[in-house]
Amino acid sequence: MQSEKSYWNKWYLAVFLFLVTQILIFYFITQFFN
Amino acid sequence: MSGLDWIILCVTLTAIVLYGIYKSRTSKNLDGYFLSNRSLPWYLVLFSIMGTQASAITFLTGPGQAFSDGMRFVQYYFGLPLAMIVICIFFVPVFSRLKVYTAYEFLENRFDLKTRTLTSFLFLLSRGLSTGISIFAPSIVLSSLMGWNIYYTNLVMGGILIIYTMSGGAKAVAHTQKLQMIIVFITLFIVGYIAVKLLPDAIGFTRALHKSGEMGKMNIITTGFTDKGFDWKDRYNIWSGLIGGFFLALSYFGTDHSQVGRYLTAKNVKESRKGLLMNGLVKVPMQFFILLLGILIFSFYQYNKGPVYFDNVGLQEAKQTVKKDSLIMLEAQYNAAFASKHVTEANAIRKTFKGVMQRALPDQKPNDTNFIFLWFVKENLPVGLIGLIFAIIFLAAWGSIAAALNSLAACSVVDFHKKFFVKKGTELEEYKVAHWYTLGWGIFCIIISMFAYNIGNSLIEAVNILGSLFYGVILGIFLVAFGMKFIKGHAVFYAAIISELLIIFIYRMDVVSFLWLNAIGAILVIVLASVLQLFTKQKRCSNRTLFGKYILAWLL
Repeated sequence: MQSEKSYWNKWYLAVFLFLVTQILIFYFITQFFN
Repeated sequence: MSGLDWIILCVTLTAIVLYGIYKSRTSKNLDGYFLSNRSLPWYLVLFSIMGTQASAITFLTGPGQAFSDGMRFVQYYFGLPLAMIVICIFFVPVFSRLKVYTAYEFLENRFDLKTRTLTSFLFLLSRGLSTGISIFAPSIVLSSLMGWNIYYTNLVMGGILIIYTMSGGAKAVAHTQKLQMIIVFITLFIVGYIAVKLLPDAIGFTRALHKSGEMGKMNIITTGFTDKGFDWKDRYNIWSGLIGGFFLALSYFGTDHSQVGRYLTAKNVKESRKGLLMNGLVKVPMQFFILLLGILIFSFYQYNKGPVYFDNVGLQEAKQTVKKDSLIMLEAQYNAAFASKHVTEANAIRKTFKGVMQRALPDQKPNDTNFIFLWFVKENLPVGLIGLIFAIIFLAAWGSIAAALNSLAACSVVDFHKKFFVKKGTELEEYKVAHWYTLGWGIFCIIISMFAYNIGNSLIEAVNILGSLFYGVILGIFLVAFGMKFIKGHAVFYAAIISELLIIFIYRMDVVSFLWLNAIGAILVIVLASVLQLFTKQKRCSNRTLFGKYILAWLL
């Protein structure tokens, strides 16, 4: 049960970090092209 | 369109229908028809979720939106991955444990029959109308651009898919959506490649983006702050995207049965979660790419002359009004500015032209955004590919309409027919009834699309707003159901009705952009249900104990 919870927590973290990374990349693209 | 384009269009559409019928075999009961026996793997759930959300208008509006307003529209999707996480943690396990057929069945379990019926009714009303519009909206673009008869276009857009949706239910819907999405993605990549190739030799991909950036189109991240502070009426910025978009996605994926019905088809909780989380990973890049197509088309039209206004039918209509002379004069100025390579001036004239169009036809709210992508396709892409692009518009429409019909039939049968009309039918009778409801909703939506033609663009806007007026309140009911166990049916029912009235009032005051209405609606239901419960509880429970419960509920 604990390992399953930890498995899903990693998924949630991955989705969250991927979003943050995208926003940062978009921010740099915005700065670069403006 | 050439003969080859017609052949490709017809073959693609026929292939999808045949594939849908081929995949129609399922067990003859409601579990098989509405939930595909809860047997689908995560990737089918993912395609189904994406195919349901991405309608034809997504592919028509996206590039046009970037062309007119820049890349900032992508921020609208920033809240979606966060909503996927919340749905996976709280919503999916509950729906799965209770083995519900519809999202609203859970509300009777948690509150009472009236709350379930009210919420299901709100869903049927808004989804039924919006599905009719999602047939009409791409049809009007195609018929105006190609000169096709609007009624026949509506019939193909909303009618043919009924064949496999009716015969195969959720299973046929999911399998066809998989194929539809694969064809859509491959075709869009080819269009992107060709759009880059069509740029002048001296202008590469990066220079095109720089040029677009100079004209304010690479505004991917915006904050919504002006000299006067935060602009609450600014539609797309990082805050409205993250917060408003989060509530919108939470209510759409967590409480709209056209989406809930997709991940209920998964074989277990694990497959549902994987499908939803993968959607959270791919959605933003997908929208980014669709918008980038718009930027490439914008760059293309900086070096190649496009029309001053992309909707020719609307333009001709406007030229019949008192604004005729202004429009002709502006068109001549635009042509002259482009001929003398004053592109910035030409872009400014195009903007002014749009304003005059809106004053010429104030009731129709004219807008050529949806026409830009297909105009580009029609005028510049090679023979064969044009037919394929038109096919993907139909396929995208079919994917979302099929899922909507399946979910409308599911709620009608499970939340109303079995509850109020025929409580004890055999499995086979229920299965047959489900077919008739699917057909009935299909016909209803086509009728709405036919009426929509007579009313025009203002109806599209009205229905879009209608959705955002209801979503927040429905979400609020579900959030109370999941997170505030001490609140009972009466409190949440009346809180929902009061909140709905307040949301309509706020909308009429026109003080915030529509994305915020979702968050406000949900918060209103939570606060009002808490207050109402406090009054009804006071008779039986001491204030001190109750206060402790409230604090705990808010904290947890």
